[in-house]
Amino acid sequence: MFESISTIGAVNIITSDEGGLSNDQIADMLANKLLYVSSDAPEPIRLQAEAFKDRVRYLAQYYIELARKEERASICAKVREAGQLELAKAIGRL
Amino acid sequence: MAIAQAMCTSFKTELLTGTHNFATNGNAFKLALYAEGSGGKSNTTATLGATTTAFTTTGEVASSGTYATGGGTLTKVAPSAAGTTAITDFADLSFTTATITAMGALIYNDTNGDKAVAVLDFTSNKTSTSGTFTIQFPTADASNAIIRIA
Repeated sequence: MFESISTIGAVNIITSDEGGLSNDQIADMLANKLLYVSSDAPEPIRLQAEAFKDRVRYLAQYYIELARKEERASICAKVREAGQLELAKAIGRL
Repeated sequence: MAIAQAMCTSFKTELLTGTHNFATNGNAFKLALYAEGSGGKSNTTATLGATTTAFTTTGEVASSGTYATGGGTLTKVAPSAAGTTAITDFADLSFTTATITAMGALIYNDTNGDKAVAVLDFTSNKTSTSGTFTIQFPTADASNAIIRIA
C-alpha cells in the first residue's frame, strides 16, 4: 500500500483602503515570500533568519519607495510635456 | 464554521482520474471570494469545505473594481518536486479599486466543469474599501506551498 498526504498551504491576505498597497505592505509581501522562518527552528538560527528577513524588508521598502518616486517623476515629465501643468503638479505632490 | 479550509475530497479523487492539469499550458484555474453572513452578493452565507465539489455563486462577493463574479484567473507555476513532495504554486492575485469583504475563497478548475480544488479560510473578514485586495500565496516549498502532495 502506498499512502500519500495532500495538504494546502495558508494564504496571506493584504488589503488597502482608498488606494493601492503601501510600501510597507509590499515590502512585507516580498520578505514573506522570500524567507519563511519556522517557529520551531533552533533559536540561534531563527533569530539570525529573522534579522536577515528584517534587513530584506528594510531594503525592499527603500527600493520600492525609490521606484515609485522615479516612476512618478517620469509620469510628471510626460504630463508636463503634454501641457497639463496643474495635473503634473498634483502627481508630483503624491 | 461555514467556510473551512480544506483540499476538496472530490479534487483528490479527480487527481487520480487525471481531471486537473496544473501545467502552465494546462487547465485554467480561478479563485472566487466568499463572505459569511450578509457580505455575499445575494445576502447568502457561503458554506465551503472538504465536501465542496464545484464553484458556486452562493455567498460569493459582488463584483467590485477589478473583481468580477466568478473570480480572478490564477497564473500557474508549473508543478515541481521539493524533495519527495510534489508542489504547485500560483502567482499572487490582486483586485484593485475594489470594495470587498471576504472570509474565504475557492480555487476551482475553470476549464473542467468548474470543479473545486481547495477552500481557503481567511479566519476573519478581510476588507478593502475602494482599494486593493491581494491574495498572497505561500512560499512554494515542501512545507508551505499552496498545494502539496507528500
